[in-house]
Amino acid sequence: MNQDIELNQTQFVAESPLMDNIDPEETLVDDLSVEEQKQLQQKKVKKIVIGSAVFLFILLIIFIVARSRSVREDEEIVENDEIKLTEIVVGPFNQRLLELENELEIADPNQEDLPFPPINSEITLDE
Amino acid sequence: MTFFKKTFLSLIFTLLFLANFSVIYAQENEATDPVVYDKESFSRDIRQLKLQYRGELEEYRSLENLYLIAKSQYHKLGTLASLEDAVQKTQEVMILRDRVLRTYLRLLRLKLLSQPGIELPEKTAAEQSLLSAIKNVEQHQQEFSKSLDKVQINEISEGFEVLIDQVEEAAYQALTLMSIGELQTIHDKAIVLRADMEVEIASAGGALKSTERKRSFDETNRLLESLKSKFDLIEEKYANPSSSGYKGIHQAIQKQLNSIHSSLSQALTFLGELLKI
Repeated sequence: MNQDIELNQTQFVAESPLMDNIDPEETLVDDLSVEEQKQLQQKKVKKIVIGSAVFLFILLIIFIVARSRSVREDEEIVENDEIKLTEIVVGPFNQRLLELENELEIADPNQEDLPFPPINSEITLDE
Repeated sequence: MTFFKKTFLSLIFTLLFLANFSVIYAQENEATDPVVYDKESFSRDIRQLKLQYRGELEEYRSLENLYLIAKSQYHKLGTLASLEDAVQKTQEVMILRDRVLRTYLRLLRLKLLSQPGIELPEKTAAEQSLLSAIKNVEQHQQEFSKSLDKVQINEISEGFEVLIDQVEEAAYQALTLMSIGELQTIHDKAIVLRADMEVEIASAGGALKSTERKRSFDETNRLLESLKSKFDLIEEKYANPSSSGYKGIHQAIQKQLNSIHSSLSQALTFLGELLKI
């Protein structure tokens, strides 16, 4: 017979928890009251909600900043192109002169923009 | 739950605040100049009215054709059915004729208000004439609110001949002012351009060039100055319409307007040559 074998069943039963693979914290949790467990859970949920809110907030800021930057960049690009064209092709006086010539063409007295409507002023049933 | 409500509400308020902020930011980036906004607003309204006017004029032309056919049929056949058809077509074309006139006068009013180069008292007086004509056309339109017979149509037709005279006077008053205002504005801008060019480039390029430029500037100045008396003559004719009315004035000043237009064209050519010296 093996001398190492413990034959005291009472002690064996008392020591049986030590033989299980149990996490010490779980032991603690199990020891907490129901209310305390609820509070712990609520804290976890709070952290998740706050974290999500902050994340969304940061996303929104990034979106607004990126949008305003892209609009400004587009405007700058268009303005730069127009300025380059003006400097290369026409000087400021030439530009003003061109505008005046266009206005003069529109103001030609022989070309009425809005002539009186060609309506029949003698609509009647008599012959 | 209280905590969730608070968090949810604070998130909503934050989002609303940021959305408002982006709208304000966008608005600040837009043009805030009220003058630019007014011009754009006028241009937009004028464009819309022009489209409406063209559409109504097209419709009027179609209805006028139908009216002429129905009238001819009635006089040929003399039946009650042909009379009924002719009465209907006549009323329809009269209604559309009034609509065309009303839209045209509204369009003319907007163009007058947006036209620079016109003295304010004259502009206001012309606008009042247009508004009065619009009101009379609208009153005339009330006569078509019910179905009419042949006798009533003929009465309305006689009344329209008086209305159209008033409408024409208001229209030609505005058209005359606008024709003068357009050329006056170009004349004023040409004078300013000439003066600015003289300041910037008169003495550039050495003594020989600057002498040549000075002669050219003087010649351009003489040409532009000579137009002032022509404008004064036209203004005087406009201020005294006499028996021929504004329709007569509009036709009478055409020759002077053409002369001014031609001189302005020459002045702008001179300025173009000056830039090449």
